[in-house]
Amino acid sequence: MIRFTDFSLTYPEAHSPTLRDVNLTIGQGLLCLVTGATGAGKTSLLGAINGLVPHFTGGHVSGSVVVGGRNTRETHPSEMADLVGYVGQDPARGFVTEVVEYELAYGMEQAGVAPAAMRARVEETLDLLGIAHLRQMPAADLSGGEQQRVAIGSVLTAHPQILVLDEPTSALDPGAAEEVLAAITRLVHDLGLTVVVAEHRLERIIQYADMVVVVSGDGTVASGEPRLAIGESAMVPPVVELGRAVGWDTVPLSVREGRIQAAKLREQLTEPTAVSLVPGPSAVTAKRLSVTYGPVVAVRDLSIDLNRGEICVVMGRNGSGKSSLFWALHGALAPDRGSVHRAGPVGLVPQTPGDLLFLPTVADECGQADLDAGLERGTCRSILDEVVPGIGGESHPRDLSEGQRLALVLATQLVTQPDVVLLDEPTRGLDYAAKRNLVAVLKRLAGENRAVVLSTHDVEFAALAADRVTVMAEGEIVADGPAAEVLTATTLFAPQVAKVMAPLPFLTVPQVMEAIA
Amino acid sequence: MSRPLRRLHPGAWWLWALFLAAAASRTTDLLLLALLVAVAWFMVIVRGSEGSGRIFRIYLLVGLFVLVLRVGFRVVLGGGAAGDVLFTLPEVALPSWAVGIRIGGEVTVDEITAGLADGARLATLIICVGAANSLADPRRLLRSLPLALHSVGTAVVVAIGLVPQLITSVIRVRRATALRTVKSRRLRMRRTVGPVVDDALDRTLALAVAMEVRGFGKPLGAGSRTVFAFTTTGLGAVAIGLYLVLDGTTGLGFALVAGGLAATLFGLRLAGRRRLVTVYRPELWRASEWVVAAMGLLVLVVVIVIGRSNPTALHPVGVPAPPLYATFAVLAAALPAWLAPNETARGLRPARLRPS
Repeated sequence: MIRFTDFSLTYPEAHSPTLRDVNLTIGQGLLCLVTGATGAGKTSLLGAINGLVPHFTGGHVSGSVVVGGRNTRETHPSEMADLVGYVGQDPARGFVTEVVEYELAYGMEQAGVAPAAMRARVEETLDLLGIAHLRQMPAADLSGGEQQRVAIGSVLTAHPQILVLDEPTSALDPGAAEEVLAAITRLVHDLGLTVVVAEHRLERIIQYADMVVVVSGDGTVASGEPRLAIGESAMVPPVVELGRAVGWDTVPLSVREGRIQAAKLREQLTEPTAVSLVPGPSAVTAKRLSVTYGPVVAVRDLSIDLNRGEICVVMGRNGSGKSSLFWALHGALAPDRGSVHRAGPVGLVPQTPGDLLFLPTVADECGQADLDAGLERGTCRSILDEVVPGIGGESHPRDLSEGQRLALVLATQLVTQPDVVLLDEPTRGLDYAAKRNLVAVLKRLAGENRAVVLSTHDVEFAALAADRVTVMAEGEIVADGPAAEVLTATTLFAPQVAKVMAPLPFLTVPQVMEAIA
Repeated sequence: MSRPLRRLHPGAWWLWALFLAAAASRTTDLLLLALLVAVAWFMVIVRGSEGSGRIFRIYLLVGLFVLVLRVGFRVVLGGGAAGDVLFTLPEVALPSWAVGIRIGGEVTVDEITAGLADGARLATLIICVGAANSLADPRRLLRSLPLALHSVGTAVVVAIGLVPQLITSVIRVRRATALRTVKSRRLRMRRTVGPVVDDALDRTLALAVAMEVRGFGKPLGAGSRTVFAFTTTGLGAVAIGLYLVLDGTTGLGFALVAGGLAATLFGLRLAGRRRLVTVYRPELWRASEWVVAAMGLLVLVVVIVIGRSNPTALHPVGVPAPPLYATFAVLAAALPAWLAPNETARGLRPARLRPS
């Protein structure tokens, strides 16, 4: 169905090829998972399937990509619409029309499909993806999971044989991600579509994949059956890590496979000693806080005490009030009711850290931060090197990877020596390596006797980083306590290791290995 | 006769409202203008699309603002018209070269009524356009453009959609500036503009990709350029021609209109034969649409005829006295509230009360 032959791609002004000598065949009806570090070239590989690379992006290409008998070198991406459906990283940015129903029809209108057929296909797709109740809604008003399904629907109506999805669940909370994944697996099984998905968070999708393509940093590509393809790779979900560490015969890919093999292990181990939180001195206290936007209540009568030396992870659905709480704790947003008492300065890294960057180079940004804080030149730079070493001073902040940009903004916030560091969804777009690095940075910040508070949808990240977990819903706190307690209480927020080891409240692989030893 | 259950073609509402606006531009009778506003408002309440009340309110406020501004200017910068002096403002002494300009001084009744008439006319015009906007989303109207103008319509729809996104982006970035103290004044503009422009560029690229992969801008062969050339130059000629006709250069004007229409029709026929794109759930133009548009046209025609036979009838001095036929015509323009087809079987219900 999709065949790459000796395919290489070098972007203009790049020193080395993004993709190098790719030889890859993806068969019909398979669910193919593309993985690799941030910036390794996953998106470029996906774009090559429908000709966006190089027709839209530019770049020097050698070798060939043949999809369904069409050579992408000669075929324009718009002429591939009936063969390949492509959904980019942020579907909300790709909506053309005002209403869901018309959005679904847009591709067919371009293809000149007869009105009667269009009507039938729209209805069929609305049902297939479970979005019939949204048909009259403006696409911009939908939740993330709904938008993703509408975006998938909008390319499905052209009846493509291949569906290409770039990180379809990365911005979604666990519940919404499940909805989208359920829709994707249904398309593979019921419609026999060939689906190619790029994803960082393998734990969500690897068990459904028929093949895995690993794009490595030097642009080469390895592919094969999932267990083989991930091989010795360090970028694997926790359940695989557990299997490797314990030394099981077959590496488990799903919680189910892990649980079956862990039966004996669960009997051997005893419950780990419960870590109770020893609250440090309070760094920021909010009392009966409320934040409203017109008729919408974002934070409702909420009281919270955040302590020094503690990493607190705030979880909850999109729109549950996490961001508003952070802004109110910081003080940049005045709460409608209630009070916030701060022991010292507070730093906040917003959800889109790029909003705080406006100078042409990393060095300029660091220099400006030093200047504004009245510190010696080079302070911010040295903090940045502690957080993520090796970022070139002359690079443009826009060209940095997500993790690097986050580090730069964090560094500009840390120059003010805040007692409290708030990070709004810092894990978006980070690969496993960058996440591990971020955990180390956060632990160090907490070790310096600061309160660290972050929100995330990533339960695996929460399991690694959190001392304390707070769950928000409808602007209220619905659960608050030690990480082990809160994360094992519900299946939706349980990390893979907890699911495998339940009812024993283990959260991470190192914890299990410690108990075995 | 029961009305069909469907949406009225957006073009019908736009024609109806624009005819009312054109009629408003030809009178300064305050009562007649008030009646026009009332009919437009009534129609928005009973037949407006969901959430349209909010849009219409903005137009009402703008109308009011224009009215106040006009009267205000007349009072402050009045030309010293004859008539009864209402009150006297302190006059600013201007140098001798500023002959003919006066600030402050005596304010006459005529001055104020003239300002009112002027302002009310403009305000009514604006409110009628607002009614058109509220009765049918302009994006729906663009969807019903002839196929040959499809790309132009898409461009406008995309542009309309980008405005709210740009606003949210500005709000977000401005809020973020509170998180980082930057002392340099020089950078104040840059720190908002930079990220917003970056964001807008990213969005535009993402949208371009999304449209491209769904088949927009597919190479369509040689014919599409010809179609585009014929329709755009044709419509351009019609516009210029209409302007000339209104301006009095009738001969050349009519020639341009006729030629332009011919070119446009030719282009459209060419496009129709090629079937470049199709339209999902096309809006229908049937008898009801003719009726609604005709109700609007009736008002304009009556106003024009009255204006021709008795030029002062529509521009009363002192107490407004709208001609009887014009009043009836405007009242008749409210009939589409009952005559136009309904989307639901529920009949007339104020738009605001509909559950969202």
